[in-house]
Amino acid sequence: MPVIITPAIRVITPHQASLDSGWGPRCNPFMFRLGACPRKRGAAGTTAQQVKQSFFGALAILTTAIPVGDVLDAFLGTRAAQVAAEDLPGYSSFRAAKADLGSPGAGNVYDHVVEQSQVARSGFTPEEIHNPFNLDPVPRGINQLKPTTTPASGPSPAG
Amino acid sequence: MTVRDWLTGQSFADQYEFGMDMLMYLTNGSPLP
Repeated sequence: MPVIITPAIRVITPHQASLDSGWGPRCNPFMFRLGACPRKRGAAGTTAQQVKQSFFGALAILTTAIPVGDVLDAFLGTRAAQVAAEDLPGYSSFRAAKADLGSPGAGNVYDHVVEQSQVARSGFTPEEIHNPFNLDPVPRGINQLKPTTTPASGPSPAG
Repeated sequence: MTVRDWLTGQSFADQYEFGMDMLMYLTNGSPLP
């Protein structure tokens, strides 16, 4: 629906939009930018009856209710959504990543989904670990809970 | 064996999936498996 693209452009601030516009927690700024974020159920889809009210009403609704990821997909195409994580540029240090990516949002911190310790343990490169795909903006409290609630042993090999 | 030990040597994709699952449990307040 190309007619909705113009009014929706103003929404695009990748991180803030990923936090505030109905996108799930499994989303970081780069996933959002690529349209690869899973969407929370019921985030959109309430506009069908409202749109028929009037042209101007519909226009107003479209500017706020159309999923931003769909608009981005229209711009970027499906190919961009298929870009693998390893194709994204990484950073040699967490400090450099934070400096370049900007704030994760008020009260949030960047969480390494694959832990930094795995550089030494598993031989991953710093660029893989400090990759935007691996850096997830989460509330500080969740980030602090992670090491204390992770079970002392992993799942059984059979499980 | 710790979780870090258990994760060590697994592929990046597997470790990423595990990390996202842990994050989901913490975010939702669900009990750990």
